[in-house]
Amino acid sequence: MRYLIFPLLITLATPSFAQEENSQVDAGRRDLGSTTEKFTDSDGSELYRRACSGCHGPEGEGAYGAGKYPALADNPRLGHKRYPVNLILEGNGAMPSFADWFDDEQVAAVVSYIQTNMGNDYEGDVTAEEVKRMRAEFADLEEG
Amino acid sequence: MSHPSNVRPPSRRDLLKMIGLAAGSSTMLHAMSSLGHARQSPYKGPIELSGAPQGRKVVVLGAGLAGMCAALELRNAGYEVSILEYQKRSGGRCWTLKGGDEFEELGGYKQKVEFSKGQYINIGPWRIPHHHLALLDYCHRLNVPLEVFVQENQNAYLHSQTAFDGKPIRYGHAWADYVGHITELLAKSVDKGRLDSALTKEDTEILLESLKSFGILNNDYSYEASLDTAEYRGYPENGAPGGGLYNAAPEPSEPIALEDLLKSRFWEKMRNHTTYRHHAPMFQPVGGMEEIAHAFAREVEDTITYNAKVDRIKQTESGVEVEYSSADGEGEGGVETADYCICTIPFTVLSQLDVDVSADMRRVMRALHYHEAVKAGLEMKRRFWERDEQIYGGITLTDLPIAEISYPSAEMHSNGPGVLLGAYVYGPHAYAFNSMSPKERLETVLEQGAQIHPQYRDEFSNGVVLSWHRVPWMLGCYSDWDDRGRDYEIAATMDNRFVCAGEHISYLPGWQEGSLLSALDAVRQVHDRAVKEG
Repeated sequence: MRYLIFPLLITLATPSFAQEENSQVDAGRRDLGSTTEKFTDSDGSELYRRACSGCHGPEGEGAYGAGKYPALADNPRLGHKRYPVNLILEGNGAMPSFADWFDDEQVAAVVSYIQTNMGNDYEGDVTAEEVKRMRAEFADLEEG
Repeated sequence: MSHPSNVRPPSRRDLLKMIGLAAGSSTMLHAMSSLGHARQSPYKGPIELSGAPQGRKVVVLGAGLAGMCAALELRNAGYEVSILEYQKRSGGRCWTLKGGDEFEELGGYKQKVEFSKGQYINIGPWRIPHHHLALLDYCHRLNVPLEVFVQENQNAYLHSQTAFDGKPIRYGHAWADYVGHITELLAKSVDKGRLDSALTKEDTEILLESLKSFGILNNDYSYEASLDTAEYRGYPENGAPGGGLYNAAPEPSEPIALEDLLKSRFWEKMRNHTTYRHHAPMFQPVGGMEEIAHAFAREVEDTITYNAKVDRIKQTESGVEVEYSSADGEGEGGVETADYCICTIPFTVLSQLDVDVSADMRRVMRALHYHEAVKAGLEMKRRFWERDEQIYGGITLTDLPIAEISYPSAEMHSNGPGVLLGAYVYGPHAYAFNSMSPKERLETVLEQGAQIHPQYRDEFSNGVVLSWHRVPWMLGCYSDWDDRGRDYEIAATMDNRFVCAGEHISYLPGWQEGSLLSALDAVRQVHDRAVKEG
């Protein structure tokens, strides 16, 4: 294990930001596509990989223990865009809310990605505008 | 109780008793406070449960601290108790990883811990405040030796990727200089009458005196390099006080400029160690946090059925039935019947099970979300932080995704290896780590940590990185209530014969004290109900 890490570290011996440009390390790994407050990617597949795949699996296969993370692959519930948008913004059980960490464009991008990949073949046409409306609506429901 | 032959002046306790009898409890509390004895904890000593009816049985779900505590107290009170536990170990999140341990995450990643003998990482809870009285009392009762956990260390670092060329700054330097600079600004504006304050002339003079004293300001109310400020912030290299002739006289050190401190945003982290829950001294069990779980298990292990995955919790008029299957698919499941059920299964999991509870409680189970967290344990061949950098325990805070590096409070100054907490990641960064393989996580943690401690490159021996969202029996780290309100009451209140317990049913989320206080409250509710039913 040590020998795998060694060459990686050697390129990074000097202070960070000065040599960011010429680092051989995947720049995405340096910032992890995120800050302490937000995800920063805009591409749906990249957002899925960073935020979702750890639980739902790289191919949307889900995970099963004392409880489960449901499979997203071949999932008929994803046909209605309102359903994934609601889960991402509001959470449910083991699914936390990502409302503070994704903006409307990012929610639209990741929902479109899961609706049109991993064995799902739906429209994937949800827009940031629609997400914005649903965000307000769900927040009202929660307060109401 | 009285000893007429041995007349003595009233003790403090006697005095309190008299005050209490004469004036009621609020006066008593006031008197206790003024005598310095009031404690900021709802725990008032071991729970007393008398009059348990004969032959009542309680099934406890989960053998973490809450479940084992509930089992211990109920059995002591005369109840029959059985515990169902998903894992093949007890302790739940009170979990210490040691050499030889193996664990598997959701998604199939397996990690084997290769730490040297005696080395460990507390991958769950890792520190105990001195005011967590229930936990401390159980440690006392169950003979778990504690040692000091160093939380704040002036010689550890604050680190920013973009400030000070990415070089770490000693916490004590930043702290002394930030305080010095802001007291200087305040003192100068007060001195020039620019501060519109309601203070009298006399009080203003005292304020100036205090700012000078607190900030280590000179007679012009300036904070600057001097032997006085060096007494607080430390000395330059080759300028520390010595002995004899050579290089002995101390020299002043240069404070960090206020502008640089402001831009570094280090001030965001300067109250971290002074939150009530982190006040010194904090404690840790000798040999790892799991020693507490082992101590509980010594008392109640005979009641635990391991490898039991709860599938269905049924409530009837007269009792509860819990159906379970084998968690690893090998061996038999079964049905556990009892009069009452205390359930410590986290809501991430419980909300997915078939449970007979009110619609309200079911809604609350789904609405409560859990924090994400990723923690890394890195064994280093040499305790370079101690030998090279004079950092003994404590925590370095950084704006890198790893967020912190904590230095072990055990075995300080030993010649052997040591295990660092190499990352404690929250928020979006934790999901990014959650999506990586353990090897990628480890590489990322090491690459980031090496920006603060270049010694990582030579000294790293082996490590583990756990993502709590991938822990099969947790699906998250600890509860994250937005607003407890009515939902919390619903979650904490017995529903027919079923009551929940655990850190999520407390105002101390993620702390073992919360688990225990919640367990004791659940025990109280079960006992009251049982006594009533006779």
